[in-house]
Amino acid sequence: MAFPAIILADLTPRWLNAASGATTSFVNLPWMGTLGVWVAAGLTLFMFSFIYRDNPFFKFGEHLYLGISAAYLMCVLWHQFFKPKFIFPLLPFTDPTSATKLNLLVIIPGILGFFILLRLIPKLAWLSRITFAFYVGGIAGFAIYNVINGLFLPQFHSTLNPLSFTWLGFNNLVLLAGAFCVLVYFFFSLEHRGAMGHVSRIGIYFLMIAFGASFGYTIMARVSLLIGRMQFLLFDWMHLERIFPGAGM
Amino acid sequence: MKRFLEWFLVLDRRIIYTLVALAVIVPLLFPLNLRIYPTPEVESVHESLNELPAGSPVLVSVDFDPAALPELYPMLISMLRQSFQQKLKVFITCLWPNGVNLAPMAIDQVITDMKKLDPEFDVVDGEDYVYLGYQPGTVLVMLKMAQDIRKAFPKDVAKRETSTLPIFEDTWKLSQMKYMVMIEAGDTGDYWIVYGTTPNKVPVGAGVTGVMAPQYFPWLQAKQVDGIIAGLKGAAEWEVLLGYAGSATKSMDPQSIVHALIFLAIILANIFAFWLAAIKRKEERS
Repeated sequence: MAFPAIILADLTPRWLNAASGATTSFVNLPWMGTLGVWVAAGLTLFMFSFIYRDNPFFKFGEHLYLGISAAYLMCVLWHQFFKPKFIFPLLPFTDPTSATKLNLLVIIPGILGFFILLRLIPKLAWLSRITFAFYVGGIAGFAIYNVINGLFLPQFHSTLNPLSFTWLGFNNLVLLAGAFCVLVYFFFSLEHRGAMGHVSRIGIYFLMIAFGASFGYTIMARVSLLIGRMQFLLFDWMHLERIFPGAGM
Repeated sequence: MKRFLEWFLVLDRRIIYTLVALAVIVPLLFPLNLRIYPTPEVESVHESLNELPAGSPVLVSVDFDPAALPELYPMLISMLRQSFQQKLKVFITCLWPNGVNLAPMAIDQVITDMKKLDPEFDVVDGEDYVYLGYQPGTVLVMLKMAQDIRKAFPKDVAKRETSTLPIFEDTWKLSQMKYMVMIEAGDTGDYWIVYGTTPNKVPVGAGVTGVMAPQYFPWLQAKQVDGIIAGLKGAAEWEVLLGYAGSATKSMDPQSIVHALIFLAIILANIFAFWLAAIKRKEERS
């Protein structure tokens, strides 16, 4: 919800503070920093106004964020990827450092990338399949080996621990039982009745506990974001640490 | 009583928002300084870094954007503080385009703070640390880093050729890293474990948002991550272990109060729901 204010709210004031070496004192901030704080605070309040009800201020902030983040992403990709990886190797004289050598091979990925854009033209959209075929084939090729070795086998191995009459053994038993019951729940080739139904029912309980833990962490995360915004409003913007001793970031 | 119970169980969300806002604002203005107890998952990351001798290369991946700043930025500060204190060689990467400006901000802040503590403190860019900036491709970048980091990142953010930087003299590939801390707000962390740290046998600590924390415990169970710093609470624990009170530590008072408020609301709502049902049953019988 606070996304539209984030770029200006979180980046501008602290970044300017750090760059200028200024303290958090209001009077020591450069005027751009001050403007940034006020714009960020305004946008934060615009976003918080949605708590009351949907309104034009919220809409403005929301659309502003989408525009800014899309433009920001485009700039980053243009300067850090497209230019050094495609333009400079193709046209070395455009590289201001003159460090890039001519590399005509970049034309091949360039053409493949261009094919994806042809999805916008229905008659030529089929050309994009060539790129996707290349991409899917390549990704699958190196993903299968790495996923088996880096994900499947270590996770499988960690489930198979020795059982014993110790606390660790009990933990291992719970882990094994949980993994087994949840796998049974996701086994759809047999009807979940009788013993199968009971085991899958236990699987649901394990899943519910996992979802509960996940929900608890989610609440913690959302509260943390709210605290971050409040700290910004109370201290970066309103400077209430001057009135309340001991408060501040 | 029945009317009160019915009113409470359909409480206007704006009242709840107001209570939550007060539960955040009041402890921020009047800190309670509640004690923070570090968990073994965070201690593990701290200890692993603590055991490294000076000069050991460590990798920090800054894979988050400003949306996750309140939770993850304090972790980045702690990681840099501990690394600089121990004189480790810090390699910093970013695989999230919207987070590319966060690392320089953190580096500046840590250097400024540490110079205030010790005027003789000094770290040299390119020698003691390097920020390699953003590269698109995520998994491809990791696979390339396994072969040669200098080829994955031909230039750092200051546009210097990485092959000419002194920090790369003894360290140029992923498997040479003695430890890694990935600070993650998305799937990039999973890719790091599967394609980066596990195949290259690099011990890794995961600093993640609270939302993501539960999905990292299976990695911990399988010893594919060394420790987990979960959300703002984890960041506060790391600050406690490092012996300073940063923004995460100062956020723990409101965090605890809001949790207590939510806990109380859940308990009361359940009691009141059963109570109301009992009253209605009684009314139906009579």
